[in-house]
Amino acid sequence: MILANDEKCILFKKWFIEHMEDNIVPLFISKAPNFKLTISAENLLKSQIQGNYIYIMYFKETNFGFIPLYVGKTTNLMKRWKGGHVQKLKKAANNDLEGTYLNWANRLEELDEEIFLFCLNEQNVIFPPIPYFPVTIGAIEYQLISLAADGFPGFLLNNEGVGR
Amino acid sequence: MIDWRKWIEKQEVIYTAPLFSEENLVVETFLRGSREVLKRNEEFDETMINIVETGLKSKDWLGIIYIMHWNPYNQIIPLYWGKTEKKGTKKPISSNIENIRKNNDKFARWGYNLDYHIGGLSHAIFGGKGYKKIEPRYQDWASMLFSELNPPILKEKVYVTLISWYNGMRGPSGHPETVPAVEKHLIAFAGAEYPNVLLNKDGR
Repeated sequence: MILANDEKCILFKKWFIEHMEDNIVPLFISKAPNFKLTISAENLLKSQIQGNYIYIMYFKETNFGFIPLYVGKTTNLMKRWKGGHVQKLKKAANNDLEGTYLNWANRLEELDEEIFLFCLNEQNVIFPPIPYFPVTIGAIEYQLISLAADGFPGFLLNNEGVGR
Repeated sequence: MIDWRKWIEKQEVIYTAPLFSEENLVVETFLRGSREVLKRNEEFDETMINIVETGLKSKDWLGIIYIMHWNPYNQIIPLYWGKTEKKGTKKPISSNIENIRKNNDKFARWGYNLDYHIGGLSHAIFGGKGYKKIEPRYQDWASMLFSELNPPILKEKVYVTLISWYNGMRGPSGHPETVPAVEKHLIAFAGAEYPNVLLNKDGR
């Protein structure tokens, strides 16, 4: 068992909780092999305004409160999720795709907990996850990835920015 | 904002070497097969070999974080942050660094092969046949670093600073960090300070 870095876990939680608004939805009605999105997820993805978004896929858990599964950024939430992640998850579940998305499909299948999606427009960023760090969206993405990788070890599905 | 230059100054295992073999900013080239390539500085090669060979002797060694930069008035102007990890995606020792003395193709990502920095940059400068197209990012490198391409003349002398990274070392965050985490964090700082000079795209 890899030991979690408590300070990183706390920094992630603090940033995440302080940035929670009406920007969190249950993600899937059904998981493999269809990965059908909930109506509230579709509505959240549709409601996007101009600019960059940071998004976090996570699940709720008793000890930690929540555990992040994937951190990403995009200028087009709908395209990234419906056209990108969901399509690739379906392919992976049908054995048409290996690698990253097979890991995603397997990880999601292992979890009994409900999966949630958090989306935040860059205009609504109040402070950086790591104190005194830059607040551009690409900088925040990798701050969150590094905090999540060490603060919640063994769960994060990101490859880029994570130690081998 | 954290002063990343002060953080660099505090690093324990850090070396700086000129990147290219050059005279009065004109970079030496040689033929590698049918391709003309820029020649790395011998001091850079020796420094890299020393860091990798020393690192591989320790179980705590994780890899190298590097910065290509200009250095006018002894101040780092960041051009590109990168990293090479000890572990490969599949192998326990990455093919980028194994047998580093003879690994001219890859050479901890600074190899002469088209997929690596010096090979890719040379491809962008001299063209020539290759098994792949010229990568746009190396065209960006070429126009940032060189004032003329034939012969290749640098705008300013280019240096690479190599930070050897061991388990438990603390990044600019103040926490123990992995090699890729430190790389991305430093890209963010450099991108905020030099948005039009830094060549990294991701992480800012």
